[in-house]
Amino acid sequence: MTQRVNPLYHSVSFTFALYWALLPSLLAAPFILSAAEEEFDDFAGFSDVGETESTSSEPWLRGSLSLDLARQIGAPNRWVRNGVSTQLILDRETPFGHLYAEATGLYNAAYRLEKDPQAIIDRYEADGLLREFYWQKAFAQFSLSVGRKMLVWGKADMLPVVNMITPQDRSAALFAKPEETRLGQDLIQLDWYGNGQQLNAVLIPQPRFNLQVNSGHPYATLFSDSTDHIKDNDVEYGLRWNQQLPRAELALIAGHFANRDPLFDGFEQTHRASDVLALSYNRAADPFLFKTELAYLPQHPTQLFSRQGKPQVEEKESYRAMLGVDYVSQNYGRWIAELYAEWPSVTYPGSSAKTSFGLLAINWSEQYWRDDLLLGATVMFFSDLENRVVRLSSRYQYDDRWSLNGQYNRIDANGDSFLLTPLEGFDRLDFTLSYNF
Amino acid sequence: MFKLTFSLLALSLTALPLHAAPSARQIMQQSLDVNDGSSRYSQARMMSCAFVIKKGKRKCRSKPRLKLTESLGKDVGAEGKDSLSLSLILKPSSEKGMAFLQKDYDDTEKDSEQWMYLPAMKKLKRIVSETDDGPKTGTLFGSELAYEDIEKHHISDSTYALLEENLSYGKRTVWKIKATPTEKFAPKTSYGHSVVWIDQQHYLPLKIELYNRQGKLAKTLLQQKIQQIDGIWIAKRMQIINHSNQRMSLMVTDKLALNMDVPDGLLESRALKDSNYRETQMKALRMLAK
Repeated sequence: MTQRVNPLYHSVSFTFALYWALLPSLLAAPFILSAAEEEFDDFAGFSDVGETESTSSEPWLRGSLSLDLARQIGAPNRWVRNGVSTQLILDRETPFGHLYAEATGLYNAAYRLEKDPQAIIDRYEADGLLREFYWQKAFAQFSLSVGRKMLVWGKADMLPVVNMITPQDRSAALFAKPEETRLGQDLIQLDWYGNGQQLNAVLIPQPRFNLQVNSGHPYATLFSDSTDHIKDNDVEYGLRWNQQLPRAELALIAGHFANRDPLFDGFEQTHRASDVLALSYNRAADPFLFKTELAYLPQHPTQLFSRQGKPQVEEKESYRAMLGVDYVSQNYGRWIAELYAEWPSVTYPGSSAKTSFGLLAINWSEQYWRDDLLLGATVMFFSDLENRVVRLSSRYQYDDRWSLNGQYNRIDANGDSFLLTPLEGFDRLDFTLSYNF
Repeated sequence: MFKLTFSLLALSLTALPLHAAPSARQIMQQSLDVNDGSSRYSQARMMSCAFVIKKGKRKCRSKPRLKLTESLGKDVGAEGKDSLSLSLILKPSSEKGMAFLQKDYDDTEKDSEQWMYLPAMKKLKRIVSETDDGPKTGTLFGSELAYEDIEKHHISDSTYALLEENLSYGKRTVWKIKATPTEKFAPKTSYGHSVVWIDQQHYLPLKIELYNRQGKLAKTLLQQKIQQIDGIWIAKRMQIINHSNQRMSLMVTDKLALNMDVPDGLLESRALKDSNYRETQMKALRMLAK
């Protein structure tokens, strides 16, 4: 599962880009008399404008309440979300540092409506997740974070190569809310900031892996229940150096990270860690942003199968690469295209062994109606044009608190894609009505 | 065609000699040299709504949309002509934590550099802009201020004509100037011409009318609530009325500080994602703001 950046943010970015340019106009009125102030001191319709709004009254707690409806409209045709969910964010500056926590909770009646096994109903009907909970303290040139935190080191938006630190939530297969696709890692992070440079060090004593649902769940995968059989749990660590260049950025990464998904080693499953050397680079040339990520894994645990079909793990020299471009058009919205390749590829039981694997993702988004309506479309090809996911999304912002999201996912698989074939028939329609507070 | 930007309307504290009647171009030239301080901090609100006219007055048809923002900037470079700015969204809550950093260069050959922090994705992202082949699309915060309204412009973008020399505008005496974009600049703007009311005593722009290419009034901009902050006079409210879609926006600066010391680190990418660092450093600036 890959992650998609909410295109809303790209649009908002322009808002910020030009916001500051407005300020000179506010500073542009020398020596007007108080009489003139009275003449033009008219809100002209904004009758409920208060005198000031101070940041000191900002609440510690914010979040959202949502009504979620999602129906699988392929085969089987069934409810996959039917209930309510909430996101709570505690964001507090204290004299001792910054405290941040983010938790999600949901009630989903879909399993009961579809008469799923009682064990699945009991486990998933009401669920909660602590995605992040960390303390952070900044010093002159250093910053220290301890706790559960998401850490994003890559430049890619949809097909990351070097985002190997933060695990993914795979409990829903297709997410209507992109921000729910990631999970925090329990870590200690030390950052150093210099002149245009950053050095980030991370230590993960007990790694967390991609979240899978149990067998029997509609989105169960061959990894389901894998946590029962983990035979190793290596400490992870990594170092990133990032240099800002004129209209470009270069990052070098070295680390020792585990497979976030398990590999099959006989009857056991493993997340065995291995060394990683990576590079990420981007360069802006308006209206384009060119992005690349490269990774070299000298002894990467790779899934293999014996002639008898017995799974085994063998360490192999491996490579991964991403090439991408962002494009902003005056008339045709914002575009992101990313191409990902890995070789040799990890293979899984039931899939044909391939020596390489590729992905191509293309995303378009545009805002309308004074930014109240956001439309987006994404198509992702898995190795060839016949294996693809098409996603259409929309977001309508009714006011500052209420919004309605809609999303349609169509999955086409020709049977030989180990990532996509298990999801064949999972075409899905999502609606989410949210209230933000 | 001329798109009269707010930045272009910024007038210098240095008044023109009173014994010589300035030309329209001279008046507009002064706006490019505005004294807005070498550094600045502000908290501002942008409210927008569709309006109806009742008893001759515009009223919001529904509760206005609100963006509460906090911004920081300073002039940098050899002659202080480049600038760095940091902007944060405080409200609405669904966008809180979004932060934006921009580097602008006086050299027209160098494009601005922009970064955005996306709190929902925990990602710092470099972003790019459209090309300059035509008017910038979109509006600021979903308001009635189009991006092209707030772009930087040069005096050479337009030609200027003095329509009226001693016009009364409220209790003020103003010049009324028409600005028309040059042939070269016309494709980059959606406006056909603009008319500006400028205070004769202090060279202040008090009102701007923006006309579309067909000559129809598209927008009216008003500057209001003039106050002196840290020795510099500023307009703390700006109203934008869009006549073509019956919507209006009001930008209110609630707090402002000028010419204060701004730590360099607050205008680097660290400030976007290191919340504790940013908040610790900004505490002192907030206390200075009035």
